[in-house]
Amino acid sequence: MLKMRNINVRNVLMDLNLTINRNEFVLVVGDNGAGKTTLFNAISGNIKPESGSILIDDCDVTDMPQYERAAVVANVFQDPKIGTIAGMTIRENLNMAYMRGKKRALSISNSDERDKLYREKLQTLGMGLENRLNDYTGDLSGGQRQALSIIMSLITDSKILLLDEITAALDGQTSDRITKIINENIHQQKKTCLMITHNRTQIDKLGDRVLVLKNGRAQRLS
Amino acid sequence: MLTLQEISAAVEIGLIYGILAMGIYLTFRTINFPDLSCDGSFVTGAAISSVMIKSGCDPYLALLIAALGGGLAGIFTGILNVYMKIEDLLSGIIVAFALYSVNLRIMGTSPNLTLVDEITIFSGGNSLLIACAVTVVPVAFFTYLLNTDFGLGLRSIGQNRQLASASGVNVNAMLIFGLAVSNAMVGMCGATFTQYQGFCDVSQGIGSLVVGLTSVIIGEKLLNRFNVFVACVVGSIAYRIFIAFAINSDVLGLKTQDLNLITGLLIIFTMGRKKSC
Repeated sequence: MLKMRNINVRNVLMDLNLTINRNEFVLVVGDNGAGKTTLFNAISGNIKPESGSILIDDCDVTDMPQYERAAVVANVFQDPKIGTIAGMTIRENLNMAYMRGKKRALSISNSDERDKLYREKLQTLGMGLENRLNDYTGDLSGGQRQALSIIMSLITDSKILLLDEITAALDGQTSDRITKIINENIHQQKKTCLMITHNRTQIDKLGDRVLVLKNGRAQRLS
Repeated sequence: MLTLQEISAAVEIGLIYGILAMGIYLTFRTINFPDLSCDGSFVTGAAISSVMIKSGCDPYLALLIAALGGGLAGIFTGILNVYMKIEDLLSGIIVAFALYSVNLRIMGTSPNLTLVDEITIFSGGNSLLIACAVTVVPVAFFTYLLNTDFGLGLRSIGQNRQLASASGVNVNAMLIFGLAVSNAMVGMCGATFTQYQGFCDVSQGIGSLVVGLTSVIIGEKLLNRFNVFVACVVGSIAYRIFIAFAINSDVLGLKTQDLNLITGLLIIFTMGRKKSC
């Protein structure tokens, strides 16, 4: 469960109060500058609120730095160039995601066990990425990189998943497939999910509730 | 033409400076931090090693302590940048500047020390084999390190800090660690080289950054997407052979004082070609 109490961030979010239950899928909508991305940054720990508190499963994470909060919060960024590392292979990117929230030890990161898991997950995309584990991510198309970053976000047991306009860089068919994968996974893994979108179809078809942000305040959560 | 002895000496120095190139690679490429403190930490390593050897210490122990001294300089650079919010370039410059006095202190205020008649790692052995052995250790260490989960975290901060942090990597701690290890290698290179030439000078670190960077660029050019640390060593050897050839060949009329000009031209040529590819 995610609780935000009287959150204020740089005059972008103002006295924001929010409660999102476990296994709930909330779509976040609002005009440009409404505070959607700032809300995500505050939840992920990228920005520290000036006041207020953030609780995840009743644990106060307000002062917890982003790298520690990564154990419970996974992000998919709008730009796939931020969501993946171009100079690393697909396998290495997935290794990075696999270790989210775990102690990074001095043991070799590649293993057959991990490869098997990665291939299984990548197969669900239907893009053939499971056969390209040694390829550099920088050689992939924007859509492929975004699809990879979504798999990266689902590979660990994070409690909260933040999706920032994830289908903006994808074609219609891929967008539908990705949305389906996300929908299935968040319910299977019982994640709390927030997704920023401007897509009317997604607003109509996806999510349990819709959060409307206006001028940094939660105008409606229905 | 170069004699066999001159080629052998170039390879030996190239191997030793390969350690420096690996350190430079770690900061400039792996963690993407333009660290200028290495001109100072090179001499720190050399000074510590020289003083220890002159006081009768084991020369291999002197290498280890020299590496620790260099690593300490790297930690200071990291702290200036991470906690005191001083820009990366300036942090390195400040540390390199301050290290000049520190190095003089280590050397007992004398600007140079001689190691003639002292026992060094090169005493009574084949210099080429010893230089090889000393260089192989960091190559193996770095190759292993960067293929671990910890090493992936280290690499990630140089390429995408936002994702690194979102993936649970403590970027600040990793940055300081990277600078420490890099400068430890630079210090170790200074210590090895000073034992090789039997002489330590407080100003011998000037230009080490450029030499290291040139070696990295040549190595990347020669062995693209091969083991980067082997590439650093190969680049360093190639650089030394090129310099030896340029200085010793009478055809071009170049002399020792033209060394920096040749290095500068070599960088321009290599980097210019790299961009055009």
